[in-house]
Amino acid sequence: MKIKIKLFGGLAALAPDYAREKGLDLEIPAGFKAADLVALLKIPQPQAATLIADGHVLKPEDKLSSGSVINIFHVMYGG
Amino acid sequence: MKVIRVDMSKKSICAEDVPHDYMGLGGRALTAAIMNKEVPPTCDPLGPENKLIFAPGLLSGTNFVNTSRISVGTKSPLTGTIKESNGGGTIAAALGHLGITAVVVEGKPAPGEMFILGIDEKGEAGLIKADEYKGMRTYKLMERLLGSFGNKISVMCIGPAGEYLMKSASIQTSDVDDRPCRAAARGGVGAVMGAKGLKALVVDRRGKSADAIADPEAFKEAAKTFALKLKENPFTGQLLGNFGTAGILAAINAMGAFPSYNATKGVLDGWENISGETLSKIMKERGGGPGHMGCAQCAIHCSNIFNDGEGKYITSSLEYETIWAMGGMTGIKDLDTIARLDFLCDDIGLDTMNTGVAIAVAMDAGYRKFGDGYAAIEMVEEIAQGSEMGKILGDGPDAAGRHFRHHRIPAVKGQSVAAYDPRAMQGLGVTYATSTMGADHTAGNVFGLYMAKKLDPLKPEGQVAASRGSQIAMAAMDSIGLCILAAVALAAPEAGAALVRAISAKSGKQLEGNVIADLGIRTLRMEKEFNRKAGITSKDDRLPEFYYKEALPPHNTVFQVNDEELDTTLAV
Repeated sequence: MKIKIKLFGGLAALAPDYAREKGLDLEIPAGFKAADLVALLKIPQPQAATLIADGHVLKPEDKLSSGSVINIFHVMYGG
Repeated sequence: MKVIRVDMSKKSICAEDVPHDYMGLGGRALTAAIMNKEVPPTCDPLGPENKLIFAPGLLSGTNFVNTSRISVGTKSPLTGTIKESNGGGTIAAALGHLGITAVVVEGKPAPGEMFILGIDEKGEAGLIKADEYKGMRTYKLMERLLGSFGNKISVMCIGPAGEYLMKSASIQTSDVDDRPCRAAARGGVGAVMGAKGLKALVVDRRGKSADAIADPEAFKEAAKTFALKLKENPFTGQLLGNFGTAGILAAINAMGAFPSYNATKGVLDGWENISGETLSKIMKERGGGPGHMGCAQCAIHCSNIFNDGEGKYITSSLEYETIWAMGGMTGIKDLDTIARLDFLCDDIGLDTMNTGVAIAVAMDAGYRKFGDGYAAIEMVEEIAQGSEMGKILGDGPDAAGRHFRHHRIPAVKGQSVAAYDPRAMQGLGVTYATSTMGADHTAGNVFGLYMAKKLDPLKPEGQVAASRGSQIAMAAMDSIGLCILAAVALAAPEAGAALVRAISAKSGKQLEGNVIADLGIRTLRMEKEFNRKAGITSKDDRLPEFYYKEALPPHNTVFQVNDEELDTTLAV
C-alpha cells in the first residue's frame, strides 16, 4: 500500500533530495506498523521520533493505513 | 548576597544583607516570599503598597549554562494575582556577578516623575531623573542608554505601554547584542514599573563580587555534566538551534491543537507559510538566521535574527508563541508582517501574546477582518499612541472582549492563553485554569508528554497529575534561574542529579534529590497563599465557558476535565 511521509526539523536530512512541499511517497506492505517505519527510515534515535497521522500521535504498535500522510518529528517540548 | 531596596516615594535607596527569611531563595521562590511577607494581597497593583521585585535565579551569575533568567515579581494589574514574569537576556547574570539577590522597588513618586535606577560595577545604586526619556520607545531608549552609561550594561525598561499603565505592558530586557528584544512580558509588569515611575533599570555588566561558591570543583563538574546532557538531547542540541522555538509549530498543528482564527480552529490552513522550517529558510536566505545567542550563558541558541528582503534587521527573536498570537490567531500568514508586529511590541513594550490575542478577539468581533496584516499593525500603533481604541487593545483580550461585547475571549484571569488549545491538549487547559499566574503555558507545559506518547492529549484522564508535576517543576526551575528549554535536559537522570549537585556545591549544603520538587512545592504554596488572601477562589480557576461548549475542529472535542479534579491540581 502507499503512504506519504513528511519529515520535519533535522529529520529531512534522512532522505536525499527530500522536498518539503511534496513529502515522500512510499510503498509499504500491509500491516506495516509505526515502529517498522521508524526502522525503515533508519531514524538514528528511535526514541526521539514522534509520528503523527490524522491528528493523532502514533504508538509503535499502531498499524499504518493506506493513503495516510505520516508526519515525523523529533520529540519536542514546549517552551 | 544583598538586597537593594528602592523607595520611589522618598527617592531613597538602601542595601541590606539578605534577611534570614529569604536566605537560600532565588528567582520566583524569592519573589513569592517577599510578596507574601511584605505586600498586602488586596493592594492596588498600581499603588504605592505594591512592590516590584527583580530577582535573578539561584544559579544566575555562575557558569552553569542557561541560567541568566530573571524573575520579575509583583501583584499583577492584569490578573489580580501574584505574578512572576520571567525574562532572559543578560541582566540576571549581571546582577549575579554583583552578588545582588534582589532589587525591591516600592512606593510611588509624584505624578509625572520618572527615573532610571542605575547600578554600577561596584554594586552602588542611584536614581537618575529620566525626563528626557519619557514616552521613548525601547530601541531608541536603549541606544541613548548605551551612549550615557557605556556599552557594558544590561537593561530592563518600559516603553510607552508601560508609561500608559496598560495591562499588557511588558518589561523589555537587553540581549547579548544590546537590543531590548527579550521580555518579562506577562501580567502587565510593565504597568507596575510605569506606576513606580521607573523607566529603566541599568546594571553594569562588569561586576566581580558574585557570591562565593562553596565547592567550586564540585560545581564545575556538575555544570559540565549538565551542559553535556543538554547538547546530547536532539531538541536542545539540534532542533532549537536550527529552527528556533517555531520548530514545534508543525507538530502542534498536525495534532490539531494550534489555536487559529481566535481559537475557532485547531489547524491553520496555510500553516506552512509560518512554520519553523519556513522561518529558518527565509532567515538564512536574508543573512539573519537561527542559532543566535540571545541570553548570557546560553548553550542552546534558540534565538534568531529576522531581516527583511534587503537584509535589514526587522526583529529578534521571532518565537513560536508570537508567531501564533500574531499569526495563527489573527489569520495573518506572512512572516514579514508577523516580524514587524513582533518588533513593534518590543519597541512599545508589549506582551506579544496578550496583544495578538486582543487583536484576534477584535477581529473575531468584526472590528477588522482576519488576515489583515495592515490592520493589525495599525492596531498596535494605536496602542503606542494611547488612543481610546489603543487603550482597550493595550489592556488585552478581556478588555477587547468587553468593549466589543464578544463572548469568545481566550484568557484566564485576564491573561491570554498560549499556543496550545486546551480542547486538543487537555493538560494545557488544566495549567491555564489553575496556574497561580493566570493562563500561562510556561507555568506547566505538558506538550512533551504528548510527543513522547506518555499521555493522550484528547482525554481528560491523567491531565491533572501531569499538569501538577510540570507546575511543581517549573516553579523550581524559575527559582533556580534555569531556562525552561534547558530544563528539557532533565529528561536524562544524570542531568537532574547534576543540577542538585550544583545547587549543593553553591550553597555548601548536601542536598537530596527531592530538593527540586520541595522548592517548587514551597514556591507554589506561597503563591497560592498570596492569591487566597487577595480574594482568588477556586471559581476563578476555570477556563472560559466557550472551551466547554464550542467543539474545536478537527477533533471536535471540548475541554473535559471537571471542576472537582481541577481543584485538586495544586493541592500540594
